[in-house]
Amino acid sequence: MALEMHADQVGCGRTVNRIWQDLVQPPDGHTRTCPDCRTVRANLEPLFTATAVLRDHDLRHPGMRPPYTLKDRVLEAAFRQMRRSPRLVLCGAADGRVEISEAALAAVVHDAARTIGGVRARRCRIHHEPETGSGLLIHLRTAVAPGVDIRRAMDSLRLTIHDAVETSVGIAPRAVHLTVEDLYDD
Amino acid sequence: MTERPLHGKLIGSSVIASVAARAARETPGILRLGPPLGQLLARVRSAARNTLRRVPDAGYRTGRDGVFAAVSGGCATVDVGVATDARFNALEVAADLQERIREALHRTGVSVGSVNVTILAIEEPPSPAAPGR
Repeated sequence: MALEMHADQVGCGRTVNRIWQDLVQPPDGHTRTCPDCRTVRANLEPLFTATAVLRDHDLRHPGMRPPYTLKDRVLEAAFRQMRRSPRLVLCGAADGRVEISEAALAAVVHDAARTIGGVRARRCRIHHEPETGSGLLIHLRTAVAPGVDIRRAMDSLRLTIHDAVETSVGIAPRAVHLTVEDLYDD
Repeated sequence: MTERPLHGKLIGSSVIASVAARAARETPGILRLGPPLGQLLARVRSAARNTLRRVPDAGYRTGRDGVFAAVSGGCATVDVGVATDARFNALEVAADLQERIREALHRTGVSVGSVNVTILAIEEPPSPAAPGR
């Protein structure tokens, strides 16, 4: 489903949020020619129609309208849930700490892996405990295409992940453990 | 009760959150406040099931876009979640953001306790081919 796409972006770079907002108007020139946007728009249209029907129904029946604070309460509750998701402390001090969600860091690893031909990233586990000085440890499971030089591909992948994390996050991984657990054949 | 007097002024935590959000939007390397839409929607169901009926934490209020602010003992605590530009060093962006929020709140006369930053996503910036995102 479109809403599960990484970082809310489709292949062409537009966000799902932008495509959702554009549903109130006919598709623009980009959307008409972009297969990614057309697919996401088509996926969102049933939801858009359903919400429009419900909205119109509630407008016609004032007794059905939710309390005006409901939206804020739902968003607040969702944000609270987000804050409970796994995260890693990058640095901490008395006047504030900096954390990164495990999902955000894993996305950086997956994006880096996507640049290596013949390799597909799977489950990514990350450990980081600044207090113990263990450093940032990344463990990525992968599948490779038949015929790929696994040793060379993994060396390249390790280097790419290391550079991507150091550049985008600001911390150099202490170790990048890679496991080839499968071959894929399209 | 979320509104407490600070140095003779009455400043609500929602105002503090708004000031922090404004400072965050002006920080280079910050693409967006709050989580990606998909992640947020994924949390709505469990949030509604687990949290919606509970009484919010005392003194805690949400501003907007995922910026939380609280006032306790005359000091403001701010928690902000952001998406950073992949071309920037997220740790440096976060440190810059913490400093900008502290300065912005200091200018409004608020004593700042801690400013906590959570990086919720690291993304490529919008491309010129898709303007207005």
